[in-house]
Amino acid sequence: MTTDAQEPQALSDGEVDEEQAGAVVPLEGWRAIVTPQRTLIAFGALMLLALIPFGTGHVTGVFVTTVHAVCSVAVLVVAAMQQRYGLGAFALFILVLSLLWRFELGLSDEYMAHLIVIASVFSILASSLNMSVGYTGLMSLSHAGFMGIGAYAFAVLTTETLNPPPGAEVFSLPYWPSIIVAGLVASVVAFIVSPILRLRGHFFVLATVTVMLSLSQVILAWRWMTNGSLAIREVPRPVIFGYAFDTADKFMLFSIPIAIICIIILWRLVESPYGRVLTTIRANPAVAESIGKNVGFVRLRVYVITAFFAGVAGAVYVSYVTVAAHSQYLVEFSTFLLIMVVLGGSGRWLGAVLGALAYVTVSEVVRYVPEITEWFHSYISFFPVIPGEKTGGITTMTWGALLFFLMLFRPQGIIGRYRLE
Amino acid sequence: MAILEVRNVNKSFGGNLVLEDVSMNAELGQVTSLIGPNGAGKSTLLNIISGFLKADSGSVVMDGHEIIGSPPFKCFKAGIARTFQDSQVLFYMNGLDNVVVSSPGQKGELEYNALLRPGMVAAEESERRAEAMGHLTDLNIQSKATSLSQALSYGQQKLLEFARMLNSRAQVFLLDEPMAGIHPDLIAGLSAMIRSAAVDHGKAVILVEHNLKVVMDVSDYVVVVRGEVVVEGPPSEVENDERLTSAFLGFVSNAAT
Repeated sequence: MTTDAQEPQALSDGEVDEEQAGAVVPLEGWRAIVTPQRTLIAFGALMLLALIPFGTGHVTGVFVTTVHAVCSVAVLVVAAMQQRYGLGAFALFILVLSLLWRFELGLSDEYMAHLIVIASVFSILASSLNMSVGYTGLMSLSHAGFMGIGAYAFAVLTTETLNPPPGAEVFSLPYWPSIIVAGLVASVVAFIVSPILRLRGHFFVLATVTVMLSLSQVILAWRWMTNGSLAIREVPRPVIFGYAFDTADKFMLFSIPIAIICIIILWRLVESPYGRVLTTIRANPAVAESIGKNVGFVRLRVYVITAFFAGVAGAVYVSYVTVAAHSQYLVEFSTFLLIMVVLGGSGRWLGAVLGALAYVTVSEVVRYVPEITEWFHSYISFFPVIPGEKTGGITTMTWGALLFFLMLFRPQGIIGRYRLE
Repeated sequence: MAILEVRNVNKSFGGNLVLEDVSMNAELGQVTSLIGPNGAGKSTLLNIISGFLKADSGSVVMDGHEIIGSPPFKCFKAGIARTFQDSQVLFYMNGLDNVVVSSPGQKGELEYNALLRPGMVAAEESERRAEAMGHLTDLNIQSKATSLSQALSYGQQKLLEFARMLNSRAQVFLLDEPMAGIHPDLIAGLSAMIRSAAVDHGKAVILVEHNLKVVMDVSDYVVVVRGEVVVEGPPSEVENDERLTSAFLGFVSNAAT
């Protein structure tokens, strides 16, 4: 064996085609500093800042639109220079939306604040689901169930309107511990159903659907605890040092920090050697096992951790809407969460956040399809107007069409690395 | 003293007896080859050693510890690393990550450390990355560290897998048909690498391979399996043994007797 030094050379260089698609070229100069990822983060942060209504009225509107326009144009330029057309299309999309939104649809600041609260809850949910679907490859449709468990746990712990049967007692806790306990209860439930993690592929997906269905049935049937279909009402909103977060624009200041904390925790987890183990398991469980990763145990941990965040999100959500109703936590909602992950890009921590924001934005826009068509009609006379009373059907149809084209042309989502199998 | 001892392993799938009373050893610094016709149970034996299959009876002793029946990740922790028959690089991960991930005992793989001890994890990570980069450089694929693994050619993927195995710090390497699908020109290079893993790195290599020329060139010891151990010995002896032919062709040549 005298050729030790040369032969590997021949192996690696003999059949190389260097120009292969997909090879990542290290960036140099300003491109190394202004990466698409960083641009997006700055862009997202600015957009979120701009969305916070400092007051009501015209000045805020102009300010928000200006910031949106500047951000979108900046991203467009970066996207064009780096030939990231998906990113460019997304920026353009956001730009058009924000212009439309501000000047034509005239949403009130209060309503914007409502959307931001919803978006922050959704981004916790989507980020945690992304950790299980996008990183570990656990295609779970039970996420809304854990959110529901968290929401109900929180409502039961903090609300006093329940009628327990004689002899039974309902625990109660102060507001802040209840949020954590809501997450823990969801985790415990996830642990109890965790034997389904032994299933693989579509068997696992079906099992999570059954978990989801059973959880919402349990909520419905456990009347004295959950009020059944009557829902738990008057769930409290947070009060910190006498400051009540009782309206949407105040609650936003409560939900955004919680969302940021949750997203930072999830980001720290997935962008670490731990996250690399998750990606390995997603890519190839057999290989992961053969290099010393306890695949079953890691999967269990991921399932329990993501359930915790779903529970926390449920608690924040139920505290905002003040009503814990079982009809909000159905399989349908799980699929919407999955859509957010796919929309943003699975396997990217930022993707799920973007997906949640995009989902909320698009959901609102499709609600305004009749108004938008009227707006077009006022400029282009032959543009068909969709009458307002058909909104419900149009919303769903528009969503369907959007998802269809997304799957067709950009299956990996806005900034995704890979398509969901 | 052999580092890995396989003793009297039996395995059947349903009523089909695949391995019958198979015993073999692997020594540090040596390449031990397992050869035999298709269906002889070579891959089954590798799967049993690496924990992917449970044997019906028998024992596998690794470095003094009984490991039979342990799940694969425990076998890895005992010091057994393996490759698979097809290229099994980890898609959507770059070349370096593909290698670093096999580094054993990373503290950053626990949620607690990943979240709350970023400094320690970062220090450990740069250390492990340097080590992995060293293995990539040894195999001359350091330029692929930042490429996504699915963008590499088949041969490079095989090299990447090999680097991943070297990085695992395991004592025993199980190679399942490393030459399958490799261009003939590159076989010499890969053989040299296998040889070097045993000689330079001091590993015990168990090689399952159909290419008999490679086997005879590379091995220190050859075990011919066909459900049971048919013949074993140094390659020079086995090569000329008529039982080798009979194992592959299914009959004993009468001309010789």
